[in-house]
Amino acid sequence: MDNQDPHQKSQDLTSSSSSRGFTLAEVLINSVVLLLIMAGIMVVMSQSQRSYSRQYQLMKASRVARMSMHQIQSFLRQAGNDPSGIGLVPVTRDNANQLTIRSDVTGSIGTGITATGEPDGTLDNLYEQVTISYVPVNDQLVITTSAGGTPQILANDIVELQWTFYDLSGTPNPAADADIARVAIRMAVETETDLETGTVNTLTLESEAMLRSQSFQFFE
Amino acid sequence: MKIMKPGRPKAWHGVRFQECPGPDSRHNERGVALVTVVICSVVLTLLGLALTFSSLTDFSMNAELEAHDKALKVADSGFQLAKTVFRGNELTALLTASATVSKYLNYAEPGADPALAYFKRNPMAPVEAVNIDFNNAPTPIGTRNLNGLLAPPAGVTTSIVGGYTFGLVNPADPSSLYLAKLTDNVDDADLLTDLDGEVILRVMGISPGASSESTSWGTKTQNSIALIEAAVKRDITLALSAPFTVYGPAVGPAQGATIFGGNSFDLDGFNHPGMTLVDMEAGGGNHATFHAGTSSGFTAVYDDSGGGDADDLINDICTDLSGVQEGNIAGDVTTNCGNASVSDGTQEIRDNPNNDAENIFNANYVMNIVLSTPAIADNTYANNSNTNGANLGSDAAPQITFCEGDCQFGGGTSGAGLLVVRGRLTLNGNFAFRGLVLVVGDGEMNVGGNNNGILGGVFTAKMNDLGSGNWGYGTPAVSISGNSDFYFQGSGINLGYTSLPLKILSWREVLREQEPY
Repeated sequence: MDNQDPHQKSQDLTSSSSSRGFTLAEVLINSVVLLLIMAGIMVVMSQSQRSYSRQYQLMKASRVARMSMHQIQSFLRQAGNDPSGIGLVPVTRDNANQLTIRSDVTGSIGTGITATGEPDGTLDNLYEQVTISYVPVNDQLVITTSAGGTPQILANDIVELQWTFYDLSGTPNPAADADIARVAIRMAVETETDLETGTVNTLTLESEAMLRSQSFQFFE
Repeated sequence: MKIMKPGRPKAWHGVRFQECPGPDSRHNERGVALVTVVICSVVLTLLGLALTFSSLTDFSMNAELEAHDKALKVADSGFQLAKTVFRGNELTALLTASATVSKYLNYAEPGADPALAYFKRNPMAPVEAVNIDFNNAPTPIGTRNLNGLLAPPAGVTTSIVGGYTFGLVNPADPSSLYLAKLTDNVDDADLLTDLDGEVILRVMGISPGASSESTSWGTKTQNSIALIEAAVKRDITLALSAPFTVYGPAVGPAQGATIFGGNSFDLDGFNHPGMTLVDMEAGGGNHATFHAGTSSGFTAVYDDSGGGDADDLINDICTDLSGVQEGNIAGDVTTNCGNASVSDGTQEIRDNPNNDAENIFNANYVMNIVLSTPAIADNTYANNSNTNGANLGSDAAPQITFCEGDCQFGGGTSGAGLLVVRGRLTLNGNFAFRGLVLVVGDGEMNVGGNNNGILGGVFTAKMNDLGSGNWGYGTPAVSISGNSDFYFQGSGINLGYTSLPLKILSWREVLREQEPY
């Protein structure tokens, strides 16, 4: 601690040299420098914010696409599961944008859509007759998880969905739905519009699913 | 250090500058910069943290998906491995095989309600499979007996935890564990006895330690699991009921002018439960001891929509047989061939309660079996091969042998399992085989010389290529002479057709929400 004489302190405070404020030039220069620094920081922050926003949107889009793809693949893989031999057609192409996927996978316990247990020889339970529709107007992927069920949005911002069908020998687009053995899926998801830049990023995923029931050879 | 004037701070303009001399003003400016930098840092840190947390969430979700995908792939690979265990094994024997395993969690098992039978199909309770740390297994709280657990086939690396023998689909990856279990389908109330050749195979793939999720057990989820279920079926089309079965509208000789030559051949439809390959090599051995009497010595089959079935075929055989030779074809069924036991098996096949038996009437179906064999054969012989001293499998390790065209065996060749010949099969001395022999294609069989023996059954059929992948039955050709013995043995025939892989009827992934337990 500086035990300075109070008189001396008073003298210092009242002296002309110490009471002199900043000149206008000093304040202006100071302000300009500060403004420049702040501008730089703002630029960095803005870019960081933009980068964060872009990454976040991409991540969100990627998540949506992956989850949707995963779910569709899962349904396609077991399409045609028919241990009771009810003679179902695993996949039907309802129209260019809609598929219906069938498999007898549950239902031996309880009644109604949410019945559980083993395959029961019907297609009236959850996930046994799944319809997947692409609605280009709304950029939506819509799923109906049971016959006559309520359509639900599986994913938004889907700007492209293409499925290509192959038979067991690899020939594309077999005439009969019953011959579909493999489905290639191409899905493009768009991120939300960046409010600052107005840009939209698109993420494309491609994958294939083999219908196991259709791929069984005479002996495997 | 200079002491500033005490008192309430003044307005920003003027006084503060007046109160603070130059050096202190600069200090204050540095303070502003510090505050600015701190604010910026905080904002940037918050942004970074938000992105990091978002990334972590995404990473976690991705890890879950990846772990499940891995478990699914492990289950699927395990399924392929588990199928090989069926070779040469009776389904009921596999279903009833018992194992004692550890019990780790005290969960309630569903009762005897048949609707909850699916729980018993699981090789391991999912709640245990999800929670157990396989690297540091907890102390078991008891044991339980499980039927139908399938041991990994020979050559597969195993990991034993708590009495469970896990197979590793990748020997280099200790986290690629699978378990397989067999249960019967709903052909009766019993999950242990097979009646119709169809069983349910469940394979659980386990990807340990991929996720951490709180469970109602108060434990952490250690593992990601995937459970797949397939209905598989054993094809009984070739479950013959005679030592020698010929299919066709007629039959002719494969060599020379007659079907049968000499008086030393022996076709016997009686059971030979104690007979072994060694007995057969000795030229019959204890054969006379085991007359239990179930089958004819020679069965003719022809699904003739015009009526009469295999009458013409039987007539060909009977016409060829001399009076002495008739006694060489023995069995419990006698027909219009004097003393020879030659029967028309067509109606018997139609009457079989298992409808699969009638597949033998379908040339396409039978030819499909033949055409599928090369891909799964252990031994393959080219056209015009002549093989001596070969080993074509044993009772303990039956094999599938495929001849692409004409094949000759002799000179001490022995084997067990399934022998499929698309061309002419020539056996010429010292050939011993226990199992099923299919001469389907050219449908020619020429057996002569000394000590040819087949314990099980032979099926001979000529296939005519009708084009477009279609086949039709033609007239086979058979010549049997020398010291050639054909002895019926049900277990031998089983050894043959059980060597074939099971047909997969269905495949699904079992989801948690579908099975409450």
